[in-house]
Amino acid sequence: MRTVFKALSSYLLRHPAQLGLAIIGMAVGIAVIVAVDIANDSARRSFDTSLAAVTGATTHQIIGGPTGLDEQVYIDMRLNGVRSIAPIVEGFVRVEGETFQLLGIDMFAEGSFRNYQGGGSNGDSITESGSNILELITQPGGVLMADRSARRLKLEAGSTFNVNIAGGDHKAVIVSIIGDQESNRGLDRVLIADIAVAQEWLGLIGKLSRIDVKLEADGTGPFMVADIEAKLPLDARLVNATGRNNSILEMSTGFNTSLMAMSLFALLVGVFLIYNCMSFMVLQRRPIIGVLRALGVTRGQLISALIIEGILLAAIGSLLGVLLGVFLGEQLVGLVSRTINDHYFVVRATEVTLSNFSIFKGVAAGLAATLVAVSVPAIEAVSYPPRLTLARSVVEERAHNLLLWLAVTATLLIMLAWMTLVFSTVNLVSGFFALFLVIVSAALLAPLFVKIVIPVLSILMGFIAGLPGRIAVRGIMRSLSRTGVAIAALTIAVAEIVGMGVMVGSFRENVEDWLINSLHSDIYIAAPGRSGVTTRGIDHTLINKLTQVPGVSHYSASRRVWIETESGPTRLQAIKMAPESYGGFDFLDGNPDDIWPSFDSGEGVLISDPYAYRHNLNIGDILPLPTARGEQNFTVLGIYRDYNSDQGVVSINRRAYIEHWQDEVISSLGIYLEPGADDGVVIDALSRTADPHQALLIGSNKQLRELSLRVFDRTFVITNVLYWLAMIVAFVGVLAAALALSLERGKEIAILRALGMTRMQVSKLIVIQCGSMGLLAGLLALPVGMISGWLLIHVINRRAFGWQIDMIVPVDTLLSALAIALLTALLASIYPAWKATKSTPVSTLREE
Amino acid sequence: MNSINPSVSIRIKNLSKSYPEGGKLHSVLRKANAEILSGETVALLGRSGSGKSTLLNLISGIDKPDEGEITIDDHQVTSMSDRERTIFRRRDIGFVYQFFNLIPTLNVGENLRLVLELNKHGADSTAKQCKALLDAVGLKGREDSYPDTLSGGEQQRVAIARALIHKPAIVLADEPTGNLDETTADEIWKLLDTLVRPSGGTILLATHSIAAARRCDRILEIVDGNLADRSESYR
Repeated sequence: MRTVFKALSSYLLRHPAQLGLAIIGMAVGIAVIVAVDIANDSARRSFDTSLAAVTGATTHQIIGGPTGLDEQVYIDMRLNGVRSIAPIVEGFVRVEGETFQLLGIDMFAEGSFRNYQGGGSNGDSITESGSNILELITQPGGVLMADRSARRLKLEAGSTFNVNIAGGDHKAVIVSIIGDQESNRGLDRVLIADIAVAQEWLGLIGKLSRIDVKLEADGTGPFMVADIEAKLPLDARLVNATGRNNSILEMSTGFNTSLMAMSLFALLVGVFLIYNCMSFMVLQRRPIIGVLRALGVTRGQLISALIIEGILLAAIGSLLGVLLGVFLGEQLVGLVSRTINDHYFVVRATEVTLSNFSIFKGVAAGLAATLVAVSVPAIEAVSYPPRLTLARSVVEERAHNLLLWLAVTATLLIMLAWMTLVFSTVNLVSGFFALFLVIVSAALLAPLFVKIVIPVLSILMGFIAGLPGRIAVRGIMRSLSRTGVAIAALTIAVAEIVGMGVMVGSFRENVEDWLINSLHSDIYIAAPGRSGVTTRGIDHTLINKLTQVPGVSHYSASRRVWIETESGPTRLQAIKMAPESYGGFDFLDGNPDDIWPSFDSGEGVLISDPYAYRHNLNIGDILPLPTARGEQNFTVLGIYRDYNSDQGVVSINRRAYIEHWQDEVISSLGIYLEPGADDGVVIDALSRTADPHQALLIGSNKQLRELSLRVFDRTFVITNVLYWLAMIVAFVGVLAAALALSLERGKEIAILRALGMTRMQVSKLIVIQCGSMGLLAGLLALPVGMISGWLLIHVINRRAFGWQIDMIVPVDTLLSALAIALLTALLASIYPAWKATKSTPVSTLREE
Repeated sequence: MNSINPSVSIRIKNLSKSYPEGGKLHSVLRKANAEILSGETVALLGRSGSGKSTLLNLISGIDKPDEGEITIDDHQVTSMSDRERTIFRRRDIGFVYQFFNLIPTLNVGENLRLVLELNKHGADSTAKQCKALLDAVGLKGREDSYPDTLSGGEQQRVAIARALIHKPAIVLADEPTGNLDETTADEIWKLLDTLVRPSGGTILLATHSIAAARRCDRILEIVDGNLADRSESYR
């Protein structure tokens, strides 16, 4: 057996380029899986760690309305004997350009909830530097900062710095640094202050963001859940802390799932590459296999030897893949965190988390792919009588015979995809499964497509490059067992580009149209805050001054808040409409003439399309929302197109909002100008008016649109990174196939050289052959990519994010995809073409 | 019928060639000398591995010698660049191999046309030449057949036609009948005789067959790396 193994493996060592490409392909495929997993996992863990540090031992939370809870609620509960509770005031602030979470705590109530113990051993010494927690009270603007944050900002105990909240600066001083122990890791970018300081800074005097409650695991304790609920005011509710955290985390599930699915596509391309390389390595050794079989080596022995060899290669590829994956993961984690920060919640993923499970997933995927890739050709190679094993033509004949079966299988897979979509109408994973089936079907159809198109391409190339052109193109058909797989791999990668290009292009165009149609104000003014949500709005006296600025005609106003519903946080938008604001709503359902009178009179709410989709709501349905007067039912008056948030938005008339939530804060203004007024001049005047009072974000309609599109483009950076990674894998695939072909066709090339073809002409032949493979892959990828784009738009995007997008076919995307396919293949041909120029026909001819 | 340039002669002077084998250099040709006149048909005999194919490869410029010169019609092949040798080969040499070496992805007609295309012949004359030559080798109407659909003898006829299509000054044949049965081999000899000898072309034929060698004007034999004229010995 050892000799059999040696007889087989020595071939690989003599072809290091082939061996290297197989391992590289395997490694890149695995690396993408591991990297995306690391990036997702790191962001999630960072969020978990942060929540764990901030939530501490809290089991439940008492949540108020958009303006928070009255602190009297806490006092009353204490007076009623409820002890295991702690008041919290929180909000997001900016320090030196970074977003920090400000956590205002009552240190006397904190003991059993959070432990910021650093090096001290006495319970009240919470920091490494040993300062007493009481300094938080005695020191005006005193805060605690994590060691990691302080080091990054070059601050230390006693340092003073500015905390910016909603455009206003507040002086803070670090009373102590929180130690860098494992348990404190989640406190990076968290500022801990006394509750009174936080209330003052966040404009929440007399208010609490929430009350943390600690109950026994079964919801019992000195007080039962029911006891606490009975004591709550109408606008407050007791929620399970874990459930609340999970519902926040679930916001990004669609995004995370999409990323993971995309990484699987990169692996799929990798699988084809591995299959191509490994099957080539098996097929190249058919003569050796034939001789070994003739000498009496059994089929079982040969298959075992080939599979062991495959496992060894997979082990090397996996090891490299994991290492590369960690490196890529470090780069991706920033992109993933940025997207989550832009659209969902604040994560501070500064550390890359490498879990054993991530490694296991990558290695298992690589191993499985390699085993399939080795087993199929190995079983095939040993299934013939030894004499036939020697014949290359047998392989090609078999490959041609397989075409029909591949087509039948592809048809069955397409039918399965269709059935999956019909029977599972909302599940995201089943949507991706259908997409996966379509892509695999296309890959299976690739060889048949090649067979159909080659005669035409052969005539075309013959016309362009003469007989060498025909030799090149027909060589693709002649080595279909080889070229078919490489073309399939490239097709998948390019189809992914086309699909994503169609989806992103359509999405962008829809968003652009929507921005143009929905943003009617000439100038926008907002109080700084995450996604327009801020505890402190624009100062009311300032609003009066701003609307008096010369050139300002009239304005619309809005307030955005998060409210806590049964199904998790819901974004609520209260709007004071300007006459032009009505035209900004594109109703997907409902008649505007019926909707607006009801909306203006506060009879109901409008919901965005993603909200309607996620909550399965239609016009006329009742939407219960928690208000200051307890839960109230609101009628859904209309469903409108909106690309603001994939979680969806509920819009309500401002008067009705004030009535129900008793919150008069305005977080943004839409300014309409007098005819002829210059927006630049008015913006300057508005800034001059606002600056002495409050730092506000002021920008023109155009600037806001540009900013929105910048955020949009930023969201898809990671998508681009992933599909370029898939392209790299495909590039390696074509390169491997080109090398394999030139190696296999060495004799043919030698004959051509002997007949008088120059080195340059031989290189040209190889370049034409690779280019034709790229062209074939590009041509097949166009329809496949369009179908993928359709699925991404109407199935994946709808299910993951609730978006409804009109499909637009961007011709430039299609042309550039075709060019990319061609260019990839041409680039891959450079090395084999160069290698062919270095080979001498005499050595090949002598081997006869 | 093709007319072949009769003015070419081959001069081989102190030709040496060795190949690395098992870490050592194995000398195939050692200061070999010979002269072949234009229009002559010369057989090249020798044991397996004696250097027959090597000599043909050196004459055609496929390979380069370690030492020595090969001059063909005043052109010193051994001092040419790779590109010059390639162009010389495509223009002045026709090669017939034992294993036919047809391009499997091209049909019969295209296999012939390839050589003409490389020599930049016009399309009209190309078509006529191919047709005429295929008629001459007895493969009329088989232009569109692919090599793998032909018998060994038919493939060798195509190979001969391909070697002659561009009217080369020299035809090099490396065991052209070594892979064929006796009857078919005989037919191939007759074909070469019919097509090349009457037009005065030079043929250098590497073979193991004494009978085949006797058909030639002269017999050279490679013995210990040297070329010796054995025409008299084998008659």
